[in-house]
Amino acid sequence: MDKLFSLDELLQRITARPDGNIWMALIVAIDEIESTLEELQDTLEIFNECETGTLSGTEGALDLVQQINQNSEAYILLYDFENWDSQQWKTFDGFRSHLDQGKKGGFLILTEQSTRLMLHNAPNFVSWLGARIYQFQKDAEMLTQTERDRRLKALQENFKMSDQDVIDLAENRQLPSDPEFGEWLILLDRGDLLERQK
Amino acid sequence: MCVEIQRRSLDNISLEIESAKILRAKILKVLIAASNEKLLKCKIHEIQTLLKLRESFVMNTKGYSEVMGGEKNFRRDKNIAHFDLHNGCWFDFAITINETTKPAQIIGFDFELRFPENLSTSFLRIDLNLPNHNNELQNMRFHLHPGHDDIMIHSPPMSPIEILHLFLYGIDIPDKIRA
Repeated sequence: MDKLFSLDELLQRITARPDGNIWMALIVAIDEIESTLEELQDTLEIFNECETGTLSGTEGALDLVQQINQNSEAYILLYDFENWDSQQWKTFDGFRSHLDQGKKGGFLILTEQSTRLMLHNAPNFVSWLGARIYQFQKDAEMLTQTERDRRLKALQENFKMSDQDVIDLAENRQLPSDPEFGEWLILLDRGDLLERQK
Repeated sequence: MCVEIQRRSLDNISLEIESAKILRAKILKVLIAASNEKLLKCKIHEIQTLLKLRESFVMNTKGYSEVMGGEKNFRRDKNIAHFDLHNGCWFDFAITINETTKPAQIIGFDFELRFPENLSTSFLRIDLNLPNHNNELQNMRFHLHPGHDDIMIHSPPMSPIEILHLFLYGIDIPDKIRA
């Protein structure tokens, strides 16, 4: 689990897998659970071409199993395992067959701590997951500082203008309408100036 | 005439999207499919490296974002990172998105396809210019450059995904070029 997996790599794995009830676990930082869940739900619906539901485990394993039984969505994201103790995971392990509903499977969103508890207390479910436990690399799709600088340099050289020239034009509502100038301001974190061009 | 053509263009296409992240995911899916179908030469890990997102925030809320495919390449230098097609063409693009509104809206883009070197036409660029208070410019927002930066022609209205489909599936490069 040392290797980090970006959202793109996870999506690719999901696209490449055979259709069936396949579950995966994703380890994320505790303060990134909500944003990861939202991002996964949005993008998985595009890649899976099916509705993706989210179910919280905050009320315990039995409640979660009940929610899974009543769920109609083809793909499920399970989250909120942070208050589960060893017993909750043992219960979940005992009810693991309820995850097989002839649908497409889903994801468990875990933290390091909940992963440890799962590994120690839900051996049958863990064996079902196999190698499909991934450490999430957030924001791998974001432009890096080096890439940003390279794009800015290309814009500066092509238009023979400095970053400040472009900011001045935008502040005076004289920004050229070529699409590159919108990108330029966004690279400079001055997307707010695009508001003034309307 | 330009006013009428542009009004029709803007009326006939929705530039509204859920978010920049979702648009990027949709583009990624199209590109992965094209790679699997052996239309796109790039391997999947290369696509992931080439397809980038830049988000900006205004007062902690979503601002304007950019989805970028390939590096900025004004010189049309093949050594600069881009998407390669098996038919010899290659392309890059950038899309500007306003996420301050709900739904988010595409407000500009530039897609440029370069043809193989043995063709007399070197490139095709399809642009959506930024909204502008200048009416004359506003009336040429959707346009294309058919192999010359100074020639602008009204473009049929196309969304980024439609343009990608055009680049990937809609351009036939014959083995023998007519003299």
